[in-house]
Amino acid sequence: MNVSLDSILRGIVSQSVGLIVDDGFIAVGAVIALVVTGLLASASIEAVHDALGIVLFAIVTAVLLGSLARAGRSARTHAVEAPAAEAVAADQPS
Amino acid sequence: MPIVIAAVPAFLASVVEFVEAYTIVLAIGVTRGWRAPLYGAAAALVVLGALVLAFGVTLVNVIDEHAFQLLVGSLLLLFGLKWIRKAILRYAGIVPLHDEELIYQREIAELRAQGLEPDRFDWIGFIASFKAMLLEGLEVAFIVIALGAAGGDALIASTAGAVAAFAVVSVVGAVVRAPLSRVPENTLKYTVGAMLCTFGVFWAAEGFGVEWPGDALALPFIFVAFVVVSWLGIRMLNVLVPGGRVVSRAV
Repeated sequence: MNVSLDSILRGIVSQSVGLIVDDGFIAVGAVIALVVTGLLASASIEAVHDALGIVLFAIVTAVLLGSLARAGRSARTHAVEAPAAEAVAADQPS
Repeated sequence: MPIVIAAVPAFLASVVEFVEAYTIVLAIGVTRGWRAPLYGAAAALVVLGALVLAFGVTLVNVIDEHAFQLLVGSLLLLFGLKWIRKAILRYAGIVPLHDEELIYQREIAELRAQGLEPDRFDWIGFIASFKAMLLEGLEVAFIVIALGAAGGDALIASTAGAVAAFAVVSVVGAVVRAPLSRVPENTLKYTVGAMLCTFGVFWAAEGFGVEWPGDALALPFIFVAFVVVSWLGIRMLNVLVPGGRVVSRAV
């Protein structure tokens, strides 16, 4: 177990970045969802404005499903028969 | 904002993170003695408390309402999507479930290899415990700040939720004196993720000036919609990767 000050600082930085970005696709997708919703809100179209919450939800869920599909395809391609212990060891604390 | 909206997710998120930190502090205490790891954990809690106080109070006092809703909604959405994604991948068997017992045994083996000098303060135990509590608690601190930034009693409620979780985990841990491997971590993680996504979408949209039908009454409907989408996600993964195959970091 490495318990140096350097390892603590590196842990804090990586944890702080990891708070927001665990999967780049989902982080970028969420930002795009917010930007699209913001642009539609600023367009001041009454009919669209009333449904903006649903639009945001729809884009966010599409991003979530897209990220899961990518993970699924990656798992299908790269899956290895890892022993359970090794798999848990590789899992990040969160 | 009803106090429960700030307190419940903060409590559930804190239980997940404190159970993980407890496993490491327990491993240190059992192998190296209790004084240093308890001091380390206490020091980390002081740092986390200072973070919540500094950033939470600043957010409440400085940012105007719509900007606040957008900022907090965006942050909660990002946190929530991360948590719900990982929980869904665990349900589908693509990412391994968190095994507290296995992590405990691994920590014990590593700590025993470090050696221990009697009659000296155990700095290794102190720093290892400080690091574990600080890193696990950092995410909790951000969630507490985001949920509490609505002002009024919200920050007190979200902080109380986190403190209550710490008390529950500490008391149960002191009684059990073993890794809390029976805590349904993934279910808690999934529930928190769905709640954070719900609040994230709700507040981000309000930040853009959207008025939800029924105002806060829309929250349960958004939550249910996220549950339905998650179920679809698990079904999709079951088709893509039948039976699930653990690939850890590959995803």
